Amino acid sequence: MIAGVPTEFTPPGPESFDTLPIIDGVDWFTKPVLVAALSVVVIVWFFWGASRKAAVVPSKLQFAGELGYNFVRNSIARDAIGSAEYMKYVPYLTGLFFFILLNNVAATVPLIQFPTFSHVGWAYVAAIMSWVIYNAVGIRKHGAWGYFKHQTMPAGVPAWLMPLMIPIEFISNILVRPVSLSLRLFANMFAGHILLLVFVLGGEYMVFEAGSIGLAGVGVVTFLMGIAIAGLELFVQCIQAYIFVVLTAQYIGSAIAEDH
Amino acid sequence: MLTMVLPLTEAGEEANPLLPHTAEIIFGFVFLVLLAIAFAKVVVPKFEKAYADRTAAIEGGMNEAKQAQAEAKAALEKYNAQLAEARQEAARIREDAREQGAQIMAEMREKAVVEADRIVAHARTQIDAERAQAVASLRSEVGTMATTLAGRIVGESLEDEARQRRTVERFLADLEASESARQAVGTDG
Amino acid sequence: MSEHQDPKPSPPNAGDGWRVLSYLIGGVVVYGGIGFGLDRLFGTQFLLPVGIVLGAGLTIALLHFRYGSKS
Repeated sequence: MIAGVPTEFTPPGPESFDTLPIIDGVDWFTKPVLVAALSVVVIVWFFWGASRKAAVVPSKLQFAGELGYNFVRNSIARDAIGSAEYMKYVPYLTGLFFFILLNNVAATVPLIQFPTFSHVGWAYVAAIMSWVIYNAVGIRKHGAWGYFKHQTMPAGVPAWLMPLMIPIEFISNILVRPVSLSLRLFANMFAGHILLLVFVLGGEYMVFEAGSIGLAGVGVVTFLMGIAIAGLELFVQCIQAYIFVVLTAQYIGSAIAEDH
Repeated sequence: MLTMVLPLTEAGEEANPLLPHTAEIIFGFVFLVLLAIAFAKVVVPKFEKAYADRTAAIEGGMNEAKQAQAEAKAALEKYNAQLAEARQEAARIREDAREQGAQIMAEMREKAVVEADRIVAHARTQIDAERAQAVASLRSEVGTMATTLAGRIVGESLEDEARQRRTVERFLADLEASESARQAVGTDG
Repeated sequence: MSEHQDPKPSPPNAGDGWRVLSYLIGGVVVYGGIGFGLDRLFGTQFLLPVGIVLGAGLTIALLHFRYGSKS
């Protein structure tokens, strides 16, 4: 486009997230699939390298790996599930955490700059897996009926209020949890990316295409704002990965808890 | 522009961001399962083993340190005991030496006294003998001289042996008496 | 090494807040939904908001019994 010629500004919208197949004719091979696959390769490569020669006195790589692993193992899994049973869930929680983290941060990585979880399918599948796991371990621990009672009768509520509370507890535990889990992650990534696009594309439009000196100045400011928002988004990306995994761990913990 | 590069999904269809792509569901599932397996089979066991080893190493080190401490304590006790023993021994030896020294001194003193007594007695005997000898020789000499002198004065030989002796004896007795009287006065004074 | 200490009872963190939020959504959805259904059935208009308020109130009561009694 030639600077100085006013054209219509197309604001970014849901269609900004549409991705073309990378190879023509292979419809399923899109950018998010590629990024997610890369993230799996990076995670496995890093942790395999860090743990391959795991020794009493750690190497630098092992130390870095342990730092990440310990974070999920101790601060998330053990705190939420309890020291008796948490080790069983550490592999899934660690994998989940680093998968979400890397795919979220991919939105900030130059050349990739696309959050995988802004495609809702990834968020759905992660939430469904967590949902299946915490329900399965709950049923295995308490039996189907025991677990059902466990998940529908909130502790500490007086008996006369119980009938009114059972639907809330049930819906909140069985339905709202996975939906909020997936939508929270998806919406944060989606909205963050759109926000970034609005600032960056809007700034670009005002500088190069609006054809006005004043707007060009505003555009520069807008563009700088976009950079600040990218920094904020980096924070949000990490926080969302953390929240998803913390909640999964808490759901598992409350599913296997004795009293509820 | 970026928006131009990203066209709509399918012609005319509005993209609904809440509808998932089937492929992504499948890949998401596969990737998460892969990761969970990779962590469960490799990463977690390796790290946990390293942690267990580390704990064992730390506990082992602590036991070793405890043992070393106990050994050091035992050595110190032994050393202290030896030191006390040595001190006692030294005190005993010192006591012995003192006793022995005192004994030796007493013996020496006794011996010296005896020796001095002996020397004094010897000297006295010798003096007595010499004096007796001197007296005897003096007596005979004085006798001879007196007789000779008397004969010369008197002009006659005192041939009478018996008389001669008597005279001399008397003279000497007088002499001795006056001598001792004078001596007594001298010592008094 | 910290991994062998007994963990303390988990302190309230971001997760608890989100769980409270899921309770609130659950309460509003359940009783708002019931209100909406009854509105449809009787052709009335006021039962949906009543249901939403009721659901929110009940959820707050639930949260009170559930988390408030602990400390």
